[in-house]
Amino acid sequence: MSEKKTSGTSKKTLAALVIIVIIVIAGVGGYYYMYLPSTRPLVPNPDTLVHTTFGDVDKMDPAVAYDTASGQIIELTMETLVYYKLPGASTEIAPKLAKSWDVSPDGKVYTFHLDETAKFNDGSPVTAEDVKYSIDRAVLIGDPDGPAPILLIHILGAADYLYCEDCWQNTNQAAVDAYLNAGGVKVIDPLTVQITLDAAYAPFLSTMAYSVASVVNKDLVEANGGLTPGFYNEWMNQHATEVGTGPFKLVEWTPKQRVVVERNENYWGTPAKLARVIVNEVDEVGTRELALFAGDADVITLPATNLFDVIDKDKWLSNKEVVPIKPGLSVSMDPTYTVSPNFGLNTKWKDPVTGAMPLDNKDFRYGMSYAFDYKTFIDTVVNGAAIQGVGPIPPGMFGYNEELVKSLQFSYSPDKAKEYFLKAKAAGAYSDGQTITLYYNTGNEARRRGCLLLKDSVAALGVGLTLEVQELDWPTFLAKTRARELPIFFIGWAPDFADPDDYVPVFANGEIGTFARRQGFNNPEINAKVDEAAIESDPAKRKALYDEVTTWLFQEAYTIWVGVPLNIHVARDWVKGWFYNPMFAGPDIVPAAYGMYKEERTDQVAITIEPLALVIAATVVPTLPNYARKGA
Amino acid sequence: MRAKAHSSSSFFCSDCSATLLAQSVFLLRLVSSVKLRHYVIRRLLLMIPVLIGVSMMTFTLSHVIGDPVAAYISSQDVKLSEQQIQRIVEAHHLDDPLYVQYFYYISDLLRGDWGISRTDSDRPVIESIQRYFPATAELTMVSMVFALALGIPIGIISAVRKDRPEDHATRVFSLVGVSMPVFWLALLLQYAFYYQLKIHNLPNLPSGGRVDQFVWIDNPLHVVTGLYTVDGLITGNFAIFFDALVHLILPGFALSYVFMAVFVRMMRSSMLEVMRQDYITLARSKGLSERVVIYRHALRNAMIPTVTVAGLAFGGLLAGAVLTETVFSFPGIGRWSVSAIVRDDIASIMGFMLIIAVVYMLANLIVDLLYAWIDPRIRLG
Amino acid sequence: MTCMQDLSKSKGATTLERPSWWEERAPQIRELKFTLYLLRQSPLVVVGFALIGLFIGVAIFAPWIAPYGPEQRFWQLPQQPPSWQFLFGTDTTGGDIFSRVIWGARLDLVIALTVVASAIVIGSVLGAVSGFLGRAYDEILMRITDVFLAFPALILAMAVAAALGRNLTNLTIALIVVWWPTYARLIRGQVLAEKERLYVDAARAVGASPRRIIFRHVLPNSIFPIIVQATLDLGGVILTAAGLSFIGFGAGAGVAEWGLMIADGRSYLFQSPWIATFPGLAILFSSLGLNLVGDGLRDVLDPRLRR
Repeated sequence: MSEKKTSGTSKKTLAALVIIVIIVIAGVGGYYYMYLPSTRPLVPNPDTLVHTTFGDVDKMDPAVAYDTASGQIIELTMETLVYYKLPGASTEIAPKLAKSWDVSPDGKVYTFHLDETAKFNDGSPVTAEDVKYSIDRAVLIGDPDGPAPILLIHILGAADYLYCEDCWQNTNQAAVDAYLNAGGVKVIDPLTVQITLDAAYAPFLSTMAYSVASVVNKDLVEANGGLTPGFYNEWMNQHATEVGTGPFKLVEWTPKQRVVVERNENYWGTPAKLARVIVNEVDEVGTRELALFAGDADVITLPATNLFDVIDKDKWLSNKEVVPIKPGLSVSMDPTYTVSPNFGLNTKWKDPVTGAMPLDNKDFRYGMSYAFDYKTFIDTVVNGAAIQGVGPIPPGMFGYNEELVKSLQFSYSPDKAKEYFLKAKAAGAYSDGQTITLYYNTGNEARRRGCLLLKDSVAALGVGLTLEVQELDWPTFLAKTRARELPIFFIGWAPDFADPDDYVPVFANGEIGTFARRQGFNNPEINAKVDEAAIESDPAKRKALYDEVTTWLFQEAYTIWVGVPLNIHVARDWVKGWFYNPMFAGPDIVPAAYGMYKEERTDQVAITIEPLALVIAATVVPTLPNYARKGA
Repeated sequence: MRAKAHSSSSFFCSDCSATLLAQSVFLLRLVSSVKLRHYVIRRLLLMIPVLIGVSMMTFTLSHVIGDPVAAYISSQDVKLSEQQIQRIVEAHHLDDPLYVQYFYYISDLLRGDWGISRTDSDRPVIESIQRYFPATAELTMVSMVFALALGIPIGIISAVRKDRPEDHATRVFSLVGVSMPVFWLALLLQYAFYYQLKIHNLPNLPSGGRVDQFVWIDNPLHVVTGLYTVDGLITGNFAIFFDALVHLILPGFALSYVFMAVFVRMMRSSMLEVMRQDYITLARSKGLSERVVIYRHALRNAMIPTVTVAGLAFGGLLAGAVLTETVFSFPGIGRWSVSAIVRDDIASIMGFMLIIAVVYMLANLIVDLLYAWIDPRIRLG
Repeated sequence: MTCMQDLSKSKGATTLERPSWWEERAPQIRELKFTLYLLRQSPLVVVGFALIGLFIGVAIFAPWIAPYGPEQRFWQLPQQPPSWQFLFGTDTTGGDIFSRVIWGARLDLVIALTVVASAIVIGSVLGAVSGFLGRAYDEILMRITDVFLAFPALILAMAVAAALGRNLTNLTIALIVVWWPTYARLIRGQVLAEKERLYVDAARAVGASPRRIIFRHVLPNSIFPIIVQATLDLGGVILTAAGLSFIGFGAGAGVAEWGLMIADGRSYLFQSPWIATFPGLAILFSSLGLNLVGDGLRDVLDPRLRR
C-alpha cells in the first residue's frame, strides 16, 4: 500500500511539473508570437479574387433579379445591348452587344445593329431572336417585384401587360397576345432588332443597360423550362448565369455559402485578367475584417458604421482624407447615386386610439424635418460616409440642381421644430401623449441608430409627442401596409438606370410611385409633370420640370431626406485596376470584367490587431487546470 | 463469483471474463425479446399524438396568430394586388373555418408542401431543410462527441474529488459554460485560433464555413448523405474529409462547451449516487484499486442517466447551433432559421420548428430505447 | 370547564383541540433550519447567494445607483472606452454601459420573475387539476405537455415570439408558454403521490375537500422542489431572454436589455470590447448565481444526501 502511495505521489509531482513547463512555454511563446510581425511571401491565389460579403443571391434569372447579390453576378456573366463607357465612373452610353443603333426622328423607334462577333460562352452566336426573346420574357414573366415594371415599361404594349392586375402567378393569354401583337420588339434580320416605344422616352438607352435587358440564349431557355408568362422559370433562377455572353461564367452556386465564376475562355471581347472570382457569404462583420487582414479575402463589404476599423477617424472627419490605419489596405470612398436612407411619412396614417392624423398636417411634417439632427447622423452614425439628403435626384445626375436643393434643404433646428409642432398641435393635428412608431429594417445598423436619433431629438423638444422604434415585422408590415397603417418607415432607392426618371416617379408620383403610394399622397398636377418630364426631349424643359417637382417635394415635406451614402471600397492593396462606377450593382467586383487583377508581391506585410489578452485569458485560463490534471 | 451474486444492480457482468462474442450474443437475445419489441412499438405509437400536437402548435402559430397569407407569399415587397392576395387565400383555403384549414395544412405537410422559403430564394421549405439539415446534423454530432469526451471525465473527477478544490473548480467551470453566451465564446475562438495563428504563419483553424473554397473546387465531392465527412470517406475524397473535419473543430467546440457543463453535472451526481451503493463498498473492501472501482464498476451504472440526458441535450444543441452557425457562417438550418426569423418568414420558421421537434423526439426515442436495452429493469418493468 | 383549561395548559398532554398551525409545521420548520445550515456549509452556494443578492440589489436600487438613465444617449461620445465618467464605457449610440447594465438587471429580473411566477401558477393549477381528475384528462394533459416539451426552449420561444410580434410583452408570453409544462408535471407528480397516501384517504373519509388536501398536503411538500426548479429556471429564463433579444426579438431598439446590448456590440468585439463584454458578464454572473444556488438546493434537498 505505502509503495503505491509513494509512486502515486511522484507521478503526481511529475505531472504537475510537466504541466507547469507547458504553461510557461505556452505563455512565453504566446507572448512572443503575439508581438512579432510576420511576412507572407506571396499574394495568395493570384489568379482568383475573393470577395467576402453578406447576403446571398436571390435569383439568377436576369428577367426577375433585383437584388445586388445577383446583380453583380449577372454583370460579370451576362451582357446587354448597350452599356456604360468603361473603365471609369462615366454613365455615358456606349456600345456592347449592339455595335451601333439608329433612333427614329420621333424618338420612338430604336434600331439596334448587333455585333456579329458576339457569342455566348457555349459558342453559339447572339442573334436578334435571342434579344427579342430575352426582352419579351422579362415583360411576360412580369414579376411585380422585379425590375421589369420599372425599366421596360415604355416598350410598346408592355405597360398594359405589366399593370394588368391578373397577370402574375397566372397566365393571362389575352394579355400575352395583346403584348406580342403590339410588336414592341421586332426582329428585322438576324443581326438587327427594332424596339418601338409608346412615347419618345429619352432615357430609354439607359434602361437597356440594366441587367433586366441581358441577352439570354433562347434555345437554352426553351430547352430548360421555356417561358410561362406570369411564372418564374425555376431552372433560370438557379442556372441562368452559366450561359451568358460575358467575360465570366457561373460554375458554382452553393446557397448561403459561395458563388464561383470562372473566366470565359470563349469570350468575344477583351478577356478578363483574373481567372476566377469567388464571392463568399459571411454575415459577421468581425469575421470579414479578420479575413481581409489575414489575406484570405481580397475585398470585403464594410458597413459605414465600421468605417474607422480601417481608416483614420480624425483625418477623415476633419478633411475627408482617406488614410488606412493598417498597412496593406486600399480604401476608397466614392459618391453614389443611391438616395437612402430617408424617412417616408404616411400622410394617411390614423392613430388607432385617438383617430388623429398628425402626418397629414404640413406643420407637423415640418416639425419632423427640423427635428432630425442631420449633422450627427452624417458625422457620428455613418461616420461621415454620406452627405445630407438632397431630394429625389442624387448629385451628379442630370436634373440635380445644387443651388435649388441647398435653398430647400432642412437643417437641424430644435426651436423651429418646436414651433411647428406646437402650431400643428394648436390646429388639432395631435394632442399631448401622442405616440408614433418608427420602423426600420432588421440588420441595418445605420437606420436603427437614425431612428433612435430622431426619437431622442423629438423627446428633447417636450411637445407632447413620443416616438417609439420598432424593427420591421413582416406579418405586421404586410397587414398594415395593405391598410396603409405604417406611420413612418425607411425608404431608399438605388439606381437602375442613370436618369431622374428612375427616381422621381418613385418618390413623387402618387398614382404609380412605389413610395408615394405608401405615403398616401396623390397630386394629379405633379403626376402629370413627372410623366411629362419622362418624355420631354428638350433638356432645359426637362430640368425645369424636375426643379418644380423637387421644390414641391421639399415644400410638402412628405419625406425627411436623410442621406446620400458614399460607396466604401475596402480591399487589399495588391488588387489593381479597380475603378468605381455608380451604376454597378457590385462595385467591388464588377471591374474584374474590365481588367482588374492581383499584383504578385514578395514582401507582403501582415496586419496585426492589438491582442485582447485579457479577454481571452479570462475565458481560457480558468479552464486550463481542469484539462491539466486528470486521472487518479 | 461472489461479485456475481450482487450483480443484480449492475447490468453487464463487469468482472466476469465473458468474451466479446458471448456478450454480443447476450445482447442479440435482448434485442429480439418480445417485451422489448412491444416497448418500442408502444413508444413509437405514443409519438403520433405528440406529432399531431406539434403540428397543431405550428398551425396555430402560423395561421391563427400570425397573418396566414404571409406564409404563402414568396415576395419581399408589397406590390400584390387584392386579386393576387385573394388568389392565395383561395388556393390555401384561408377563408374557411379553422378546422378545415387545419385539414388542408396537414394534408399539405404530408404531401411534402411545407410552404415557400422566402429567405432561401423562394425554394420550397422542404428543399431548404434537405439542403441545410445535414450540415447541422454533422455539427451537432461532433459537438456531442466533444461534450461527452470532455464532460464525462471531468464529471468523474468532480465526483471522485467531491468538495475538494477540483470539485469546486470543475463545478464553476461547468456552470460558466451553462451561463455563457455561446457566440461570445465563438468569436473569441475565431480570433485566437484563426486570426492570430494565421498571421504568424502557424497552422490555423478556419474562420468558418464547411470546407475551404479552394479545396472544394479542386476536389469536387460527390454528395451522398450531405455529411461531408462521411461522404468524403465513402467516396475516398480524403482532402474533403480532412478539410470538413477541420472546419468542424471550432464551431463544434464552441457549441459543445455549454453541454459539457450539463454532462459534467449529470456524471457528477450519478457517480455520487452510484458510489454510495453497496457493491462499490464491496469492491473496495475486496482490495481493488480505486481506478478499477471507478472505471469498471461505478462508471457503467453512472452512464445511464447521462445517456438519458444526452437525448435532452441534443435538443439544446440544436438550439445552440442557431447562434453558433451564425458566427461561423456555417450553412445549417440554424443559420437559415435566423435569417427566416429576421425577415419573419413564417413558412420557414414553422418548417424549422417541425423538423426540430421531429428530430428531438427521435433523439429522445433512441435514448429511451438505448436506456431500455441497457437496463433490464426498464425493459421488463 | 376548569378541567379542560388545566389540561390544555400542560405540556405533552393529549388534547382534543387541534394543534396550532406552527406546531403542526414544527417538523418541517426543523427541516428548513437544517437545510439552511447545510447550505451555509457549501462555499459555492454562499457565493451563489451573494451573486443573487447583488443582482436583486442592483435591480431594486437601480434609480439610485445608475448615474444615467437607461435611454440617455450622448450622441457625440459613441464607443468611448471605460473612464471615470462612463465606468464601463459607452456603446455605439453613446449610452453609458454601466447604467444600462444596472437598468437591464431591473428589466431582466422583472421578466424572469414574471415568467417563472406565471409558469408556476399556470402549471400548478393545470397539474393539480390533471392529477386530481386523473384518467383521460390526465392523459390528455400529459400529451399536451409532451407537445410543448418536444421543442427545445429557445426554438419554441422563437416561434411564439415570431408569431406574436416583436416586443417585450410577447417575449414574456413566449417564455411563459415554454416554461409552464415543467411545473405542471411537477405538481401533478406531487398530487399523484399524495393521493396514494393513507392519510388522504382518511381525510377524505372525514369529508375533507380536494382543496384542503391541496393546501394542507400537496403544497407544503411541493414548495421545496418548486423552489429548486424555479431558481434554476430563473437563470434559464434570463439566458433565453437574452438569446432571443440577441436574435432580434423582445426588446425594441435602444432598450437597456442585456441580450440586446450584446447584439449591439458584436460587430465591435475587437475595437470596443466593453460594449458586449460587460452585459455578457452580467448575464454570466446572474445566471451563475442562480444556478449555483439551485444546484446547492438540489444537493441539499436530496433526502439521501442529507443523512
